[in-house]
Amino acid sequence: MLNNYFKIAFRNIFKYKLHSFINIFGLAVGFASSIIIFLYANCELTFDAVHGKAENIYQVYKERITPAGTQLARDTWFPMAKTLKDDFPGVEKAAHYFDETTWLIIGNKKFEETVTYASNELFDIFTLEFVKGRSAEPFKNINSAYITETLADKYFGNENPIGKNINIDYQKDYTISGVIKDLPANSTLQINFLVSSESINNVERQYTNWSSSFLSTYILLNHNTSKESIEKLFPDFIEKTWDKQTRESTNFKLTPLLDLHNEETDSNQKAFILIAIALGILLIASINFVNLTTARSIERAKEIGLRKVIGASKLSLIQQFLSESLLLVFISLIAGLIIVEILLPNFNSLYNLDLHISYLDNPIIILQIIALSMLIGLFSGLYPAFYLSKLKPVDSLKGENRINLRKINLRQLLVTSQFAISVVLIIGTIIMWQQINFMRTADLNFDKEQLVTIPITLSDFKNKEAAQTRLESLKNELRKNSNIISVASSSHVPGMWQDWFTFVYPSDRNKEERLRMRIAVVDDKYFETFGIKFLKGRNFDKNIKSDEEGVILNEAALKAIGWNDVENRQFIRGENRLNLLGVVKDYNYESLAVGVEPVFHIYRSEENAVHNYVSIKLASNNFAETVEYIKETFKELDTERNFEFNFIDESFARLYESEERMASIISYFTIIGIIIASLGLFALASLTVIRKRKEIGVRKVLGASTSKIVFSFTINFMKLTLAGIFVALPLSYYLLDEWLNDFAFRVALNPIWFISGSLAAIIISMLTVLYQAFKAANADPVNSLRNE
Amino acid sequence: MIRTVDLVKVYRTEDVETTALNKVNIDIKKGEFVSIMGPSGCGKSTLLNILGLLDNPNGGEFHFLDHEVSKYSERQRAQLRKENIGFVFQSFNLIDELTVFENVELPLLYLGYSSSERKDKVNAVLERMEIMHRTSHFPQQLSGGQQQRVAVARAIVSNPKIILADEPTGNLDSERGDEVMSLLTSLNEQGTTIVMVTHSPTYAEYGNRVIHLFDGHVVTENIKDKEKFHV
Repeated sequence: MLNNYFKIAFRNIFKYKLHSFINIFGLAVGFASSIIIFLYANCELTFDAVHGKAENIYQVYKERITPAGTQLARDTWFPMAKTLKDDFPGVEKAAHYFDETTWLIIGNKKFEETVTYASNELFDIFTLEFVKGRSAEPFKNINSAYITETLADKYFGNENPIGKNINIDYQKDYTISGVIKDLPANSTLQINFLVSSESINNVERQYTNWSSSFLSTYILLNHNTSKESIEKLFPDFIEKTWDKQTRESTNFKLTPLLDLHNEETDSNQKAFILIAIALGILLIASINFVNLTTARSIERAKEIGLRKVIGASKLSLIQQFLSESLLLVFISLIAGLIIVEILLPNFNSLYNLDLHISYLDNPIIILQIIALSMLIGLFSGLYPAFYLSKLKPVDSLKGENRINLRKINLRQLLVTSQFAISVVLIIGTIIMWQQINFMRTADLNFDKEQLVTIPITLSDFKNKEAAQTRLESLKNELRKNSNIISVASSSHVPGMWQDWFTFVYPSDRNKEERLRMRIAVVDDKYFETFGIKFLKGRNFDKNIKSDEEGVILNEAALKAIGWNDVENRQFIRGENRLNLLGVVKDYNYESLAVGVEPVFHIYRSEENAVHNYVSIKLASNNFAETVEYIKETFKELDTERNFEFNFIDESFARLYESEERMASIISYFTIIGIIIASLGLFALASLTVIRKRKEIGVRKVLGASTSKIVFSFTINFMKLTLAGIFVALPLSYYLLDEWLNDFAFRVALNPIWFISGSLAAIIISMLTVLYQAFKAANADPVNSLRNE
Repeated sequence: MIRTVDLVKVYRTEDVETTALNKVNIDIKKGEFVSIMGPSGCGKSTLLNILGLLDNPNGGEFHFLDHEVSKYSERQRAQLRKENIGFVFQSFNLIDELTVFENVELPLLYLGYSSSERKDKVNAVLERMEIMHRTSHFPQQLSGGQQQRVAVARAIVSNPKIILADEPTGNLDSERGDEVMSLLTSLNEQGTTIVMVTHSPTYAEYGNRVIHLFDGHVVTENIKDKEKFHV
């Protein structure tokens, strides 16, 4: 029997090639899109799940309670891990690590690389697979180093890396003791080159260093220990380690490793948005399926009637049409998987991802995909099956279709929801790009044009003594060029801002009222070079010795303290008293997705080793020539660092890469959704033409003009489009307003975007339907009437 | 075999009520060949649909093989139908996507015969209809007469007790029409009850009895060969 069903199904697929193509293509593309999205979402939603013990791994973080609100920080202290392990019951393992970007010297070659310094138990907490050199005590030898497969391949090719020597920053030698498998991209812990944190200089001093926090600390709890039971012990621990006052102003907490990525990047929201879009596309494709199948019922009616006459029961007809749907869905699935295999490499390289379907490693994914397609098959097959099996044999043999009226309403509802989904996608895409464009072009309250930044510090020189004079002469050389307006040194530059924090409190208040603020170290040219405006007070002056104890705040900092003027104001920072010299306008140092927080600028002369960047403001003429000049001047520095420079406006643009990636993924899938919906509409219109052939013929015989017929034909589809828009407008307003609220600086929703999104949908549906309408209107009425 | 008492069928649309059958009483015995005649719209097809258990009457009694079936559900009717009735239509109603063999096989599939039984039965009936050489052709590849032979083959493949034929010759020229009629006659001679709706007085004469319908009533019953059933 099944055989008979499939035979009929196959023969029908080939008989109605256009409809089969639209059905299969739509579903296949829908499957392909959603499989790619599901892979991406799965990668985000299972972040860190690669670590086998992930469920019991927690990161320790702290919350500072300040008058300006609670601030979260994830950096901890060197002795923290050991203390947690020793003093907290239930903590099975504890480890810390920190990363440093530095030079690796191998033979006579050098590479800039991120080095991870970690404690022993990192290996016990996280899942690190050894390819070579497995060891029970990885850091038994303090100078052991572990590298990833990729790095081993990069440095040593086919040679065995075990036993090779690598020097870090011309200071310390390490011996490679093992090679570990690269961690997948969806792991928070990323390792290139791993050495023991015990191997840093003066490590003994770190054992009791509860003042500088620069490491991430992770603990592994045993199964019976809850996160809360550990968190309960923290207040006493804080008081014991620091003091009562710190206890009042600080909370220590644990983030489950599995939640960490989401808390840092809001990845779940992005994943869910994409899953919603995937489901939307699948829904559009399924609706095509339902509509085309039911609209074609007239052609199938004779067969259905006949089968009933011969003795088919309703159930057997439902079975037949369901198995037809499942067959079609299965063909689409295979086609979809082929599309995935073709497109995934491009998708991966476009978005710098490593997604793949591991059919062999992960048979569950095959089951999931099959289950998904069965679900789609049932979803899109059930209604047509019930609808078709209900046809009365007597009516259907005569080609009549009596249960139509109510059912057409359902078809209209389905088409309306297709339009609604498409319009939400179109408007969503428009608004996402508007927000990104707004962030890219917004006034950052400093002049980001013609600004070049070169990362260079004293540690980039082999000869540390000569470094300072060389850097000075570099700046002097640059200043000689008439096309260079100004040159500044600073620890931070907007667009590549690092998280440095400090604690300060006004001298006329208690220590309890101390504030955690962002801190940046700048020279006297910084504000001028970046075009940052002073609101109050004055800039640092290198001729005034006491300016080393001066402070310049941004507006947000002034507001956080609650002052209105700058005269005779002082701060206490650690043991030092600092004079407030001036206040600058809030400038954006980070992505506009985040707000401007209080920033505390302190002064160090341009020769100071704390400065990480040299920033240069260029005149707008002879631009290329000036850049070339900078490059030439840089060569004379004789530094270990290769010449590398960033335009500040480009560094800012890079901050929006993740938003752009998201928006561009969504744009692609929006286009796919619209194409599938239009194909469905096209097919539905062509079936309507067939159904209305006689009506149109009669109208023409009675003297209706082509334009009248086209109008009356299109107006029905136009109604559906408008109904879809009607649903989509409030929905997209709500969804996008929610989405935009996550940005500190956001665009106001502009009605034009909603109107143009709706217009786009109207134009697309008009173009799709008009072709069929003209075809119908131009048909010879004699032929259409004879066919009846 | 078939007996109706005051059979009524009314079609209702929103504001029009059409009485298609008005107190029809007929009695068809096993082995009879009954022709039903009458002008367009007299209720012939409605009657045939009810007799064929495709439709329920609105009133009256309908006895089919000793069952009172006028209140049967679609499922019950489908069961009786597939076991006892074969249909032949004016427009053949073959499924275009199935071959000759597959079309004829279809009733057996719904009756749950095994594959080898189906093969034997289908081949036997196709042989009898002299259409064996066309078993793997599709309906569009056959002439009208051949298509109707396939349709008859499909109607008799499951050995039904009764064959209902709705204008079986309507779409055929006279030569092919004669062919189909002699087929039906020979089936009747082998014991199959036949009820046939026709416009043609000539073909109606093939029956033992002609029932004339007019405006939903039986107007005359022309009993040609009644003694055969009273012997």
